[in-house]
Amino acid sequence: MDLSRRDFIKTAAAAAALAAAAGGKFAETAEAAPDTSGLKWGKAPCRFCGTGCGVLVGVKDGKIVATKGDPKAPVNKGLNCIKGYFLSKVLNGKDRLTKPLIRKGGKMIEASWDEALDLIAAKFRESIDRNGPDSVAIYGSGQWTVFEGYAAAKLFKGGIGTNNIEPNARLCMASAVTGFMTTFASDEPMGCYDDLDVGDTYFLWGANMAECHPVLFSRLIENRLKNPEVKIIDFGTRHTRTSQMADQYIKFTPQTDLALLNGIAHIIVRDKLYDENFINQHAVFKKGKTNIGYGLEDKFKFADDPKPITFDEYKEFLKTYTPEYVSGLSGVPVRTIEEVARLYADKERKVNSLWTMGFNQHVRGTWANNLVYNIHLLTGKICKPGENPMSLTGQPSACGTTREVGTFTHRLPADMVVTNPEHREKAAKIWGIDPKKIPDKPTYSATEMFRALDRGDIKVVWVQVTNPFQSLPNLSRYRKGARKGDGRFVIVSDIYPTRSTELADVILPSASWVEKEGVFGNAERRTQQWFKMVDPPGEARNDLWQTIELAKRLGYGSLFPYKYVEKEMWEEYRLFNAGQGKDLAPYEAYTKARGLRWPVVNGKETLYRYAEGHDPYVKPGEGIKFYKNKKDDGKAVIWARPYEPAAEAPDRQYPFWLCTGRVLEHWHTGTMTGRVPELKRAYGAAVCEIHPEDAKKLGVKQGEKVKVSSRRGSIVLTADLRGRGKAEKGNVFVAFFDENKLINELCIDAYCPISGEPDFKKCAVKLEKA
Amino acid sequence: MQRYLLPLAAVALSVLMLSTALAYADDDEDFETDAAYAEGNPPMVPHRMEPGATGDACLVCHLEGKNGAPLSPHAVRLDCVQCHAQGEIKEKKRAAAKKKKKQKEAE
Repeated sequence: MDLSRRDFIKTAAAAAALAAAAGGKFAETAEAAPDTSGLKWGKAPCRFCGTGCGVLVGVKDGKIVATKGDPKAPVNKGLNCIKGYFLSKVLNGKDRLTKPLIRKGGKMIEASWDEALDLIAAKFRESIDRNGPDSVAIYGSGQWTVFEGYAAAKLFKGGIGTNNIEPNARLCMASAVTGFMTTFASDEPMGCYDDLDVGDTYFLWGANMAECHPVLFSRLIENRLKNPEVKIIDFGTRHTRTSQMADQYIKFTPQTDLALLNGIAHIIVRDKLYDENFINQHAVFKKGKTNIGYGLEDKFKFADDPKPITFDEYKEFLKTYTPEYVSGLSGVPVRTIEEVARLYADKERKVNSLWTMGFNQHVRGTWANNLVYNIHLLTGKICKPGENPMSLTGQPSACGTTREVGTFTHRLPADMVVTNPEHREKAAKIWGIDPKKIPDKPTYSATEMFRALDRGDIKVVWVQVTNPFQSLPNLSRYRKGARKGDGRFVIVSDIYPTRSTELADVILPSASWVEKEGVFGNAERRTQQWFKMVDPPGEARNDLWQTIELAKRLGYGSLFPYKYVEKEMWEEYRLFNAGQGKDLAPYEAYTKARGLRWPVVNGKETLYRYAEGHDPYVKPGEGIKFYKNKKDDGKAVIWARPYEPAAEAPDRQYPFWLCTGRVLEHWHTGTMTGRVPELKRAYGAAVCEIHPEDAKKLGVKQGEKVKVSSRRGSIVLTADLRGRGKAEKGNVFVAFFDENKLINELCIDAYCPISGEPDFKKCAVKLEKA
Repeated sequence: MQRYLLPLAAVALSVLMLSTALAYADDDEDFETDAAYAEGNPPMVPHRMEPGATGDACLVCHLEGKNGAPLSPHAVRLDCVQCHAQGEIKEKKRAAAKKKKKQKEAE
């Protein structure tokens, strides 16, 4: 049935009015609604994605009985997605870890906390004494609270004296970070979610927002419902629910996003559609190295060599990217490329670009981020309400914890780096330690860290709040590496048994979400706090407590002299950000507000960074100033970054592209959502999306088994020819949430040399009927 | 003159603290009332959903209540499936209940 949008809006309005007036027949609930009387309610951000929806949590008799979308939360205004609506069930799985477990003779035996922590401390001490501080490591998470991340960073960098701290955010947002740092000299977006309500043109690049940021996608749809001139254009390598609801779906060959972005810039320059004034006032041009490699060799090292170029030199660089050349590479028709460029440059349109893993999990992820910023800088569509490039974040606190606190090998809080002696000096002062304690050289990115464990250069690794032995690329190598013995010791803190706890020497039962006090920071710089509302089950304890207990046993207890740990730690952490354009408010402010977007100065949050009248750091008369980029006088950088091929493209032997990702109902490795019966029923197992014509050639029908193999591993999956996601010819897609289908064994551990982020979206596979 | 400085400073400090607190205060917290205003949780879909279905497909019936389809108690939204996911299918449920009843009668 073809319902025209105009008819739809008319009838929608009528129906809404009718329903409201007549109180129509309400939907039957599958089960009786829970008794919500006598509940104590509190606020918290959702446990899942980087959107950071506000949730109200109802507690009765010490248990979470209900959750609701928080109608007062500006992010979601009362709406959640299906995962959020099941938050009350996520922590109540039958197999919650409740006691520390120690591996003895191949079995996991229950132990006391003291026994477990004493053992862990002994292993740390032994390894540090024998092999040095760089033989121990901690692998944390974008699901760490700010406190957990801060404690880990302080202990490892300021106590033990190693830069061996990495988060799983290296696998999701690292390219976004290096994109921000190289273009603006400061991490995190200049815009905010308000842009979703007031813009009129939205380019989605390799981002299945309908499934992965559903509440934000709803804001876009809501905007379009009210304003029919709004256009949503979906650039994708497969047809998804997002593509279905967009105004236009543009399919492109994997990796060629780099060419398309340059192609759009080419047309903008060719037809002089750029904002010359803006460019003169706010941008400089640079180029870096090319042929920069793929990080496939152990201990791969890369250092870029930025060189300033002129606008004319940049125009010369763009000459290659004619619409015909780009069309040939990408499969996008010339006419479409021209239309898209004109749309981007249209002076009457408020244009936004949105992206997540398509650009970030990419062997040229940093470049992809640079290139999308280029378009916004060329047209001057940036730092204005409704006109911004918005990097969407995957995890609930990849921003708030890993990026802002800086739980990476090379980082310190507030965008600072270990390689800068002034930064080390400042951190040491706040931490009350000798600056010489903080090592001045980064060690390993996440992938390299697990390579080091495999080789034995790292012996002891503590994994908190994440599941690397399901989520790393080229997974088999790292799973084997963890169990090689010879002094290796793996500790995993989690709430459920996972594919990582099964490889651990010690498992520590942990508290999750509202079982502890915490702070998360979402994709729009909104820092959100919550209080502990229920006790964790059994003997499970907060990861923050666990880290401090290790610190005490290693003799670094003095780093954590706090009484009210969370609040005092917050006030200490704030000192890093104060006056840096990343200011955070005092702790009480967050206990009251539904989050605040930093920089928060004099109680006022900032919606638009770098913009006069919004950002308190921009002086009157400056208009727009990228003040963090002091090196280039407060200007942003337009980078000449070329198209370079993927690490492993399809060939005769392995003729298909494999892409991996998520589905709506499950989050990441499905350890939480997989334990909610309704979510499991809604989407049970990972399947292999194949194009019907490709399936026909293989002799595979809908629902039959297909064997997918790469050079690294093999897996048998059910073929899905007509699911919610429809693969393009020559491409297959598999979600990575299924603990019984470790698709990451097939993925290649090639990474962006600048960001260290692996490419989970592109490798070569072959298919056979199974 | 000096006698007044201390109480003056105290007053100034109190005013500053009060205004700071007021700047952050988000009304008096009443999460119970907020929860009462919140929407109920979305029911799962008891019939088979076409895999590619999005709002346009759902609203064919649910916009005006065709074929006995329930009307939504909330204003029309287009991305139905982000909240209303596939639930247990009614026909399967009925068949399973029937089978169970037959087994019990046979005992």
